[in-house]
Amino acid sequence: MVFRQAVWDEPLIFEYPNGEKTGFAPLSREDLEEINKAKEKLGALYRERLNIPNLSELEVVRHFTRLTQMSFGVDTGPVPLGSCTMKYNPRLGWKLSSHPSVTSVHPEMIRAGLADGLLEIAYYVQETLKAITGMDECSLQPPAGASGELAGVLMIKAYLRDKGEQSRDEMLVADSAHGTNPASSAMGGFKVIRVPTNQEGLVDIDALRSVAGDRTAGFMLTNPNTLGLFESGIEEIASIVHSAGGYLYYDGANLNGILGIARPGDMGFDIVHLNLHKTFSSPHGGGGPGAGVICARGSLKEYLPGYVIRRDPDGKLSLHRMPRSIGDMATYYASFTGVIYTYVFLLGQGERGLKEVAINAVLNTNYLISLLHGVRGLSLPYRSDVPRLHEVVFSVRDLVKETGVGAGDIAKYLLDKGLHAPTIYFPLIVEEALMIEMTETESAEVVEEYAKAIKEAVELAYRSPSVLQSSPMNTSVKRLDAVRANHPKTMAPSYKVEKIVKNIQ
Amino acid sequence: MNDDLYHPWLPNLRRESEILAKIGVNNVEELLRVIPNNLRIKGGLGIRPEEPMKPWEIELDFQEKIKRNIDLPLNRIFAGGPVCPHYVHPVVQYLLSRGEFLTAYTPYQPEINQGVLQALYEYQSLMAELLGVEVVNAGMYDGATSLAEALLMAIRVTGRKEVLLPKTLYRQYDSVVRTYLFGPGAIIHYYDVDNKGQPDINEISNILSVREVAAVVVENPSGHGVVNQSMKEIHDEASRKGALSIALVEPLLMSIVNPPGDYGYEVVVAEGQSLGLPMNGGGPLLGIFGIKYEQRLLRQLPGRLIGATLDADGKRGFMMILQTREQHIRREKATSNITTNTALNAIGAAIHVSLLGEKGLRWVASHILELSNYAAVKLKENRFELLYDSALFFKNVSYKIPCEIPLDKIVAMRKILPYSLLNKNVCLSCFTEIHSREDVEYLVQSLRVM
Ligand SMILES: Cc1ncc(COP(=O)(O)O)c(C=O)c1O
Repeated sequence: MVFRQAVWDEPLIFEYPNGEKTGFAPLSREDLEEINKAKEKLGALYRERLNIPNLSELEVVRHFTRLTQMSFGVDTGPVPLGSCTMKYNPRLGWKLSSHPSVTSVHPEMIRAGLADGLLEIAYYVQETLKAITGMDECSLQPPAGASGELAGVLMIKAYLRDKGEQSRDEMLVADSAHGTNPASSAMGGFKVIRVPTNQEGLVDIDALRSVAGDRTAGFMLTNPNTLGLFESGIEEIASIVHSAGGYLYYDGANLNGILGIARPGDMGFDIVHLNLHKTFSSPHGGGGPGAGVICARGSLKEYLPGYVIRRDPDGKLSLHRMPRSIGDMATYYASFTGVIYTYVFLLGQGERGLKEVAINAVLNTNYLISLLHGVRGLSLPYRSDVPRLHEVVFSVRDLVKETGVGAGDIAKYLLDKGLHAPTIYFPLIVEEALMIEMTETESAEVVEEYAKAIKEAVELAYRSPSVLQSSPMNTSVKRLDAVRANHPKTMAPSYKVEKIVKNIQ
Repeated sequence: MNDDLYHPWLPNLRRESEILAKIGVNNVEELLRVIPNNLRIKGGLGIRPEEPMKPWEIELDFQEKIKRNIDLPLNRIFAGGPVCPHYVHPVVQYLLSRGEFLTAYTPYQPEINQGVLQALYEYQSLMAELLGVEVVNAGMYDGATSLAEALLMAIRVTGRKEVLLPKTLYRQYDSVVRTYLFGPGAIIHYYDVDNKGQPDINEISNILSVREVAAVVVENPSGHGVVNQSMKEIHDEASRKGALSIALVEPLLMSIVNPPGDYGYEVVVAEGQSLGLPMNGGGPLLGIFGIKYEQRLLRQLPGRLIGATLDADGKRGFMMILQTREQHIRREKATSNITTNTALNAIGAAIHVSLLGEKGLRWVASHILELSNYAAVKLKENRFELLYDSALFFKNVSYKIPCEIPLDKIVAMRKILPYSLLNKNVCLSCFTEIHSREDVEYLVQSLRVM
């Protein structure tokens, strides 16, 4: 495929000719009079200098339209970033979440019973997610997965406090875990203990046994793990953690591989977070907003943050605070945009479709593996004979040794083909990692195209490595200077600083 | 096998056997064999619906449910607090719906996502200008978590473990702060305001003298809507006592009053919903987080940061910078666990502010100031007691009512959401660019008949 991304030499809005214009709404003489009145009222507090550019409505539309043309999302082409579950975000989710009866709801109306339609949708999502995870209660409050993690960590902390077990100050985290797991543990005030991965790519059970003890608060784990492998010893893991007196936390970022097939609740997990912007098709928006969910069972459910929605005997829905709630993880009740996408996804798939989601994601992963089997320079670390589930992690360690071309260069080459790069250099236990998650929404042809592009890249690395090292060429800019970007003398985190840096040079 | 189902979101559904054959296995079970049998869901989850629904059926179901929401015109919503009705410009809604922004991931591959990066850089730069600081990150979840993270940051920067908050803080913010500070086990102190609604500087000073405080939080306006007249004094006092000052502001107000950065505030946080974002029932929102350009602060900054640099041809480009602070590299030593943030809403705020420009911003803020104080006068004229008699209000106005009537009753009678309750009989109403003087009169009249 030929790919040429738009190249606009688009200035910053600050660099547009600054005129006597506005792009928002007409301003009348009376409006301008209001500015003078405010100035009088404020006296010495009044701000004189404000360097915000004045543009017309059309100028703003053009500027940002051009910027979209220099961006790339799932709507543009495949974005098979491992761990991110970049599936198609159904437009119906956008349509319904942009409905004025949703966007114009003041949060106070939810509590006052004036937005029962929205609450009804949230209730359906909450109840369905309880069934999918096998948990007793769920709160839709966390704004993202990491927020759910922090909530879970604090729930464990509060429960241990109430049981008089504050001496449990260690959180176990798999060395293959996402960075948010140790970061959330530390934010919760726990010491992080790393649990190693064995040669099979699974939790080293003996190592787990040796670190689990009377200081263990819990173990944060995802299953399938970040290598795409199912932790088949999960029941033993659960029993080790539980008999040590700790709790098992499920990082739901990888749920797509087992959706409708297996449930974290049945595996022995006590707390579960979900990322609605991964598994349940809510978009990523160039980084966010996402939407998280935090679920728990047994005594821990009493500690959930935010609110759970309950249906009273008369059919009325209302928000309930759990008796020992840790408090709030966000200003209000939920990220309703993500909740509505999830609702659309669940209705659009039904129970039957949900299971097919996982199966088709697994199929795509293993199809890609089979297409890349035996490619020189590319290896599949940890048990290459065991099927992967939602994602796969390859290593180009040999390629680097033989050609100097690494995962980062392969990534840039793929961009030139109009294919977004995989996640690279993660998980940390795989050297030169290419972590690929096709999801269920990419067709077999796209999987084939992607495999072909990787093969080409690898072959090219042996023939003329410099081509890869100087890619990308077809994107709006060429390879960027990260050293300059991060050096204290040249760093420019805003236009203000950029101007100062320019003046110094 | 699925020879009886086609699905628009599952392109390979009818090709399962073909793909299985290419993989070299006989059936799906061979791929799923790694999941022990006893952990499999048996007999289904029992969730509804069983079969996929058609898009129009989903729309019908949605309409059936959503009609139970009470639709109020925006200018009849006065309920105050951290989220208020603001105009969402169609240009913002349209641009954010474009798939290149909407469906992109975090720009870890900057060359192919310059548009997202430049828009975020512009957001950071516009906010830095508005707040009077040099550095603003690419967005936190909301105002409350921005504040909580600012306090955690202050604890790391100063090595102290106590913080000082205003009693007038929104209760939702107070709750989030308490939850976050449970982690490090920090101690929270509070200071009150005087009868004009101004922070009690003596009390602040006393607490700072006897406690080792990491940071003082200073609101402008306060959670009760009062414009702060002593931003500078409080910052200077905190500085003398070795505490950081964190300003919690309404961004719109910053276009007409001197911003906290000008007074030396180390950290400025805010809720960004007033910058053109819908209320959405309270989420998702936008957390604004800015700091002064000091290395000790920069090193401890949570969240993503975009910077300008050059490409191989010497052309300007943008990329994420200082990633070594973040969880994917620094893990348990990261400055925060945040990764998914609110990038799209940050871009929305940048578009909104670009539309407004300096002129528009000043007008919106002036209108809100004028209208809030007009409302205060009208409330007083009609014998509603203001919480602070001679205060200057911005956006939120706090006052007392003789008795409470359930909101649903008021809505039914007058088609108006007049306030949110701060306490028993104490109300908060907000006034924004979408309200007019007539709207204010309608509110006061509605309060009177009740
Ligand atoms: C495995 C894993 N865990 C946790 C997270 C954190 O989730 P979020 O980005 O929603 O905060 C992610 C994604 O970033 C992830 O891939």
